[in-house]
Amino acid sequence: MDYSAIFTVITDPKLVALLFLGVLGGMYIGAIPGLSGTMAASLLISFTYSWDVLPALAVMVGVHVGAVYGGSRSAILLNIPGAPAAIATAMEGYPLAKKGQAAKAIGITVMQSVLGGLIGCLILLLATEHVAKFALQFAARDYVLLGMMGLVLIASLGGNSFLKSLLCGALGLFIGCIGLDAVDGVKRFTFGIPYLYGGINYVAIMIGVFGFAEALSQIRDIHLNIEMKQDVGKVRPDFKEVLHYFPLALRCSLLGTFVGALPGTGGDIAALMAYDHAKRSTKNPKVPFGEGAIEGLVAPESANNAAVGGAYIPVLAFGIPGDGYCAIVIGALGIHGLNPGPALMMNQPEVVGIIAGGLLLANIFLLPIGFSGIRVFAKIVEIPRGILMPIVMALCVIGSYALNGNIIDVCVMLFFGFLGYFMKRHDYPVGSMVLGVILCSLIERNMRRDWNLTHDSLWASFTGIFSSPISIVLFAVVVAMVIGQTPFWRNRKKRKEKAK
Amino acid sequence: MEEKSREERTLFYRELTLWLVLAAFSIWAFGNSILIWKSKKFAVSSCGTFPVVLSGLMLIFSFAIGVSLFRRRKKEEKTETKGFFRGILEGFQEEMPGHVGISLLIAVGYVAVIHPVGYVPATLLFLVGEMLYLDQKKHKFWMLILTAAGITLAFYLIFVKLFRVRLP
Repeated sequence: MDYSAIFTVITDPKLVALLFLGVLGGMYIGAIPGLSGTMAASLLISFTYSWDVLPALAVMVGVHVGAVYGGSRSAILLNIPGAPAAIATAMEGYPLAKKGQAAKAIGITVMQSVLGGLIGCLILLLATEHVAKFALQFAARDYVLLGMMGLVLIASLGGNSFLKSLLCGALGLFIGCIGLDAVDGVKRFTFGIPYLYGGINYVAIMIGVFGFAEALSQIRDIHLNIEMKQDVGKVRPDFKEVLHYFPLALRCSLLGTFVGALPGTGGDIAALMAYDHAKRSTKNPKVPFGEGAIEGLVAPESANNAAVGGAYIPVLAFGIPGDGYCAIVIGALGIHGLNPGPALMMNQPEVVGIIAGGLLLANIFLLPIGFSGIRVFAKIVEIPRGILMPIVMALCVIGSYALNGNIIDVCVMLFFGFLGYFMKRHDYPVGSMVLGVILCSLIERNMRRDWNLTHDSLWASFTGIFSSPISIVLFAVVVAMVIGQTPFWRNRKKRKEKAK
Repeated sequence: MEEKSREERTLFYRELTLWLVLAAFSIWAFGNSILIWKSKKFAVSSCGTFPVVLSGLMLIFSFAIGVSLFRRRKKEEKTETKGFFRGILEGFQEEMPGHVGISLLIAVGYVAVIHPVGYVPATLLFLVGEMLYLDQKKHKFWMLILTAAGITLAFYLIFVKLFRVRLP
């Protein structure tokens, strides 16, 4: 990588200003349910079509970094994750907001997002080739195992009943199957409705089960007049606190960067894997997980922002997108007549420079931008429920309409909001269902690819797992996770803890 | 014997209702998946295999949850049962109290009228109506109107002007 190109690019005032604006805009976009970084990127392509490639990329990289962080804002304040990667953040951030510590939670997420983003960027700058080579060794079955690991993870994180979590995961995967099959063209469970041919939009489901269902739950308890007075005294975590959580943040950032580097995965799985790692590795948290554990905020936030840096590794090395946003960035490069990959690194180092250097600067800009207005944001939680919940409901309706300009998306959102309300009340984790919908295409596509390669032989497919060290490790992790959730193992763990 | 609250009395029926819905969906899903798989001559790498596996898993998990639900019911002290359907109805009333149901109906009404009436009037009416109904602190009417108007304008500026999203 040509480091001088990076330096040249990041000292250009116009590009620096565009990066700053991108991060600022991206953060607020990511915070609004129904708007996403990917949506913003698609719009940016139309805005920046006539611009030069460097300013266009500067804005897009800035929006990417800002939007990934922004999803945590609504997760903490309203229990509505702005993006799937913020599901884990909502699990710990919202309980903190209920305790009056929303400002503290936001401050921690800013700090950890910046740290994670910088680590991801550092790995991108120094180790692109090596990480990319390793990522290329992942076979189709490894992606299936990774997807299954993500599902088993979230099943083990959500609720007291592992069976209910697995049911929700399977239900989500099944919902993801609705639509026209990409390979055979067969209509699956569409009832002849043209809208369903393209499948059900997972963002509409997410807004429904997290946003609308939460609004209904809060309306149910409105007579309790629960006040969430916020303490906005201390916002910035002090240096000692940052140092205390640094080892966990570092491990989760490395995990996030690596998972982000796997084409098609992104920050969603990275954040959940990091959260699970934090839960397993933290022996005696000051606050139990699920009730506002700081470790539960540090882990997913550092991982999902590190995953942004990781997602650009396959883009620069091979021209393959690491996540959905990168796919649009590749499209933007194509519009400007550029093909990402090794040739780009040699022939247009300034383009690589704006991506790598831009990510570095964007993460630094996230610090002041993220800390700005925290006290004001935290006060949102103090708005009386009777005023706030109608606004949240209207936002859910408009946000889901904004996806495709289709009223059926709103109906989908309402349906899943209604279903999610009942599911939450009976400890059916809706996060598992949403993740299942998101991971369905990754798992099914790679599973069928693997079966095709083994000529429909399930036995060959299964034994193929033991032919690769990566597959063996992933398989062992999935099996260990499932065994770890069985009543036998849980009781054994409890007996051990009692004996201690 | 201490009389149980409606929440405690109806807990089993409420869990049972949701479980019945999920189990019925699993059965339907499995049946339809088999039909799709059959149309592809049960080929392993066809589009029917994955849904069959998933719906089969859903059936197994639903069955296991059902077993655990009924086993728990057997262990617990039986409450006064006024009949299965009465229990389901009371359970639904407990899950969805009047104010939640009305709020939901107002939201459904908002979605129904947003296209024919347009974004601005529908959103204004929805926000004012919902706030008036839910506001426990009974803020002044003009404050609610002002808040609703401000939010409607803010959403319009963000979605329409900034992101060029076409609202009804």
